[in-house]
Amino acid sequence: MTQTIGRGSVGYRYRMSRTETTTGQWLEFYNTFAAQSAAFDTLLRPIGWAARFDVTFSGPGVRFELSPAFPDAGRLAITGMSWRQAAMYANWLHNGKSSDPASLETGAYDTSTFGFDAATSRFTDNVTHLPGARYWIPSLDEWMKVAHWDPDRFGEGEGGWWQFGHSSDEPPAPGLPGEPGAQTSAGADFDLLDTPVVGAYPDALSPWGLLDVSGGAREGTSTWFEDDVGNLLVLEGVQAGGSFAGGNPDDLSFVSISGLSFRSAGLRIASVVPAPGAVGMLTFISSWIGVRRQRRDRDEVRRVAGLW
Amino acid sequence: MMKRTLPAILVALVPPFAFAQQIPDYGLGFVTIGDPGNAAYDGRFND
Repeated sequence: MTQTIGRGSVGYRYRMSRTETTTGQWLEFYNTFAAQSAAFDTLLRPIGWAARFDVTFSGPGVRFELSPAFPDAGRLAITGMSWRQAAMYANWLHNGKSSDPASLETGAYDTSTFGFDAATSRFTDNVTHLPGARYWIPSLDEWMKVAHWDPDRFGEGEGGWWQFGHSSDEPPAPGLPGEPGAQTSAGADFDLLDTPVVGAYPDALSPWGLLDVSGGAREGTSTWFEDDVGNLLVLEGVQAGGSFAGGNPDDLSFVSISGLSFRSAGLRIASVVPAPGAVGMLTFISSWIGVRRQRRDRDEVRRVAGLW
Repeated sequence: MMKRTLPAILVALVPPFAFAQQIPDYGLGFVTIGDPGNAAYDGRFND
């Protein structure tokens, strides 16, 4: 695939989560709504996560709990969510983790646009995050930059691209955490219950400090391409390693594409860079003006009094 | 004297976080990506 060529330039500052979204983080999101009504179970439950039904919960909806089969289930990367689920997760974060179901509907993405036009065989989802969104699904450009662009790649101020997501042009060494030289779970041989948690390879960092660019889950992006028959497809992001079953390392030259419900992908959340608050800034400006005014008055008094 | 210095003291004491836009981290551990306007990927690894 050559979809990455000519991409990756970003003209603004932004933020990205250091690790992929975990089972523990998604569990909080899921239970907030599924415990209210079972209808949210279908809407929000992903395919791949380390959680199970909470049989002690009597309703009205359903509730999940961390699976005790995994030693650290809450810190395992989630896989197998759909683009729309990820969009609703971003909406929920944007709305302050509200328990109001309306918080799923807008903020980062307008879910009223989600649909399919049979006449044109195209999805109608508006995949561009809304103005003012505080959290969103990263675009392919945003993802490529944070995973592979190094502003000092060829020396101070001489930027360039690394082929792999741990600031190297050599593929990361597969292995379990703690094994000598191990840099990623992608391609490593391990049992499902021994799946490494997020951040288990702290020395394998992208130029901006991301962990698990290789390994963990393949990460969804908000960038879409059209296939040969005109259907919109969701790009899953640069091949970001395997999921629980291992796989290939992340590689800038290769990306994978799947359909709208890319249920083999995980998620890394992008966010706006906090700006100076309006209230605080107004306080600062008014105080500064007050100081200036008092100095001017003081100088005027001294001038009139002939002190200067 | 007090009237003259009070505003200056207030300005000096306002902590930096008072100006920060409230964007909760939610335990996601965000990193900030700068260097706006970086060059696009030229395909050098696709040969």
